[in-house]
Amino acid sequence: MTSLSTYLQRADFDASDASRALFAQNIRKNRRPTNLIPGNKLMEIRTRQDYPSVSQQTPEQAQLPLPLQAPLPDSSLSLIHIPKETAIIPQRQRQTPPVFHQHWKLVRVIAGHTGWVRSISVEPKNEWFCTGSNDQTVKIWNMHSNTLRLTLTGHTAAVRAVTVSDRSPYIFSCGEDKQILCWDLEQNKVTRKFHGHLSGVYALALHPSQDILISGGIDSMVYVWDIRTKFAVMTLGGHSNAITSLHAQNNDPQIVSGSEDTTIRLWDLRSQSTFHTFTHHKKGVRSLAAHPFQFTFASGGADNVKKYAFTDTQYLGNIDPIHSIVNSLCIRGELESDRETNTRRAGGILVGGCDNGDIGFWDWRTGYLFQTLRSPVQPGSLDVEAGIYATQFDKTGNTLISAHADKTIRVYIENEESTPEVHPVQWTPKEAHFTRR
Amino acid sequence: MEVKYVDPDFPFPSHEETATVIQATSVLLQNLVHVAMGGQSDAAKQAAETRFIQYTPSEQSKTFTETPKQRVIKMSAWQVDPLEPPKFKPKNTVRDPHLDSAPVMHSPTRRLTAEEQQQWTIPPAVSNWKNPHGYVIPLDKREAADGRNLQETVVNDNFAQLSSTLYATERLLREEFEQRKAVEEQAAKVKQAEKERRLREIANEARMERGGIRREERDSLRNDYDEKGHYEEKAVKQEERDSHFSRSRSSRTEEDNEREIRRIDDRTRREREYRKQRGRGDDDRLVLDPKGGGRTETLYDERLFNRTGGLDSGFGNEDDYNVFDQPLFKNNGSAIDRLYHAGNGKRMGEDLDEDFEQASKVSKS
Repeated sequence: MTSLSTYLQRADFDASDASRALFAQNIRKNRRPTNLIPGNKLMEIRTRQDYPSVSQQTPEQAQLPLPLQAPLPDSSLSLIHIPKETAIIPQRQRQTPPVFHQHWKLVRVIAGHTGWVRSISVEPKNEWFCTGSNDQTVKIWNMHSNTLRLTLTGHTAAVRAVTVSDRSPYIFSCGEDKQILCWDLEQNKVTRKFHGHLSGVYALALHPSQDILISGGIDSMVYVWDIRTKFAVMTLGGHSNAITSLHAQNNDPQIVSGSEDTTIRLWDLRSQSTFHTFTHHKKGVRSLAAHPFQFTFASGGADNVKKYAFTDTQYLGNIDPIHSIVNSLCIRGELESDRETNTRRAGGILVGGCDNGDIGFWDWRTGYLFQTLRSPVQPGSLDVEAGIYATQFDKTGNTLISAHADKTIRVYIENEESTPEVHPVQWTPKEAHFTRR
Repeated sequence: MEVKYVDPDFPFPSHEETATVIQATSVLLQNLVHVAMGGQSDAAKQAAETRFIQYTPSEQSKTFTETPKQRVIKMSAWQVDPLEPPKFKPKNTVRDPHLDSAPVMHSPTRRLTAEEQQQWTIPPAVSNWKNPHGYVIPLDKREAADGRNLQETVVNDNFAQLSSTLYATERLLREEFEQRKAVEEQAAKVKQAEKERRLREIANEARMERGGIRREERDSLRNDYDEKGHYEEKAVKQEERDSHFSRSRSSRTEEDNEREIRRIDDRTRREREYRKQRGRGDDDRLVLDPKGGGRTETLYDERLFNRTGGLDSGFGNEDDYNVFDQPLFKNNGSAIDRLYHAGNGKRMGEDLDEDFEQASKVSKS
């Protein structure tokens, strides 16, 4: 979509036939219509003199194989209702500067695992959280005292992902031993094993309303398991490399998978097929995070952190670079009040744990990197073991927990001393992506 | 369903839409689970029912015949022999690579420059045990190639400096010590001479006193000595003074000899008196060994001496069993003599008569 946007924003767009052809090609590539809402940039093109709007077209013109007509079957709906004079070419979007976010500080380092800590999941009541580690265990920690409550042993290799269910007293864990285990917290025992993966399992996701578990791993297949019967009710193929991250939601696309083949696939669960593929990453995708108040998500990879919208499957562009590989992402959604328009808009902070031990804090809306936090590695561990494999907010969003390669779990809170005076927002507007406002 | 904030930018679908999706998905999943548990899917149910299909054969078909323009086919499920060998060979189908290919929306990967490629090259590991062809390197070659033997041990110069300094210091100290020793010896010699002179002076004084030299003179002499210690000079002066008396030296010597004899007699007498006063006389020289004590010769076994045959004949011949010079049990009439001794020159039974006689004697007496 980047190329499309550049074409759209170019002043000399309509001058050249070549660019027209390129544009048409681009549109065809995107099989689904992109932005059909009034005010969108696509509209600018259609209301240009060279491209008379459908309402103004003569029958002869309508017969012509206009490049835009074929790939946009339902575009006439929106196009017709926009009068030519109102659909002015909007100037480059003026972004409102980011709101101030308090900086974060480290408050506690929890040592207990004897291997890299690979994943974190917080319980819905916010009383404890669990971590999965390379030491083949899942440990449950008290949220407030940060003391160890329980150690679950059963995996025979590194545990790569842990998820606590909102709908049942279960923890699901998967690991490099190809196993997916379901732990019953009323008995602290493995009650189910989901057998079927051909290789290590890297990612797990629980559907928020269905009793299904979604998993993906080195065998590059997304498995959809029925939790009660343990059957793999669906296997979704399409990725060509290991699946590293998964997200499940109620609305279509119900499953999102990020893979080492650099693509992000949105899956139509009902038709069991790929709904859309994002190929914007140059390197493997390592993490996904969806915004709670907005139909958007972010993906982090070895190259960049990118924003997307599920709405019409838009790519929203890169956020500020942090110059490291982002292993994990999590979002704390906030509602920001806009005094000018007297509205509230979705914002918040995006947190990314990096491979070099940095934690990046971005403003969600503008993608402004307002803090890079780094804490020293645990004594006795190597400097290269500074990586962060998982970051997770607790249910209140006031505490951030990170899982480190130096076998520690760290807890962060917002720094009370951080004020706009101490940490001023130093932001310069950049070229806007597809975001409005 | 939790109400979420609807953002004007990218809103969530409406509740109704979401509910529809959830409902449809749950139905689908139920079906899938049903099938997975061994139930029949809708399609399978349909297939199980007998169906009649009416069809019109195509005119282009090879088996086309005029007469039946239409045919009816009955489709019904038929039990297949489960032991029948498979009719079709399972074949791995290759997935269509273009099936769901998406346009690549990122720029092509930048080519690495030669410099960057160089930065990424990692030199191959060099083994000490195997050569590049994979053969084991002999131990001696490995030892020779090993740089450890080529390294020279460098000893710090400070060690040499320290030892040379220690040596020089020791020599210096020795020299000093010897010098000091020589000085001390010299001083001791002087002191000894002084002491001897003093003793001589005391003896001289005593002699003069016995000789009747006036007390004043003697005192003056002593005072001279006490005051200055230059006794010799004074003594010389005294001699000069003596010579003033115009006496001949020889006559004086005779007198001196007589005086000396008297002096010795006096001394012995005085000692004797002194001993008497203390209750001890000559007779208390205790005689400890009246036979001429103080004999120091060692006592020897006299049997070793005065042997006619020399020392080597002391114990008889080699094969003689006469180690002991005396019998252990002497015939002195003790009880041990009356014991029976075998082999005392008599045969068994030879002395029976004797024994009998003896026994009869005993019984008679």
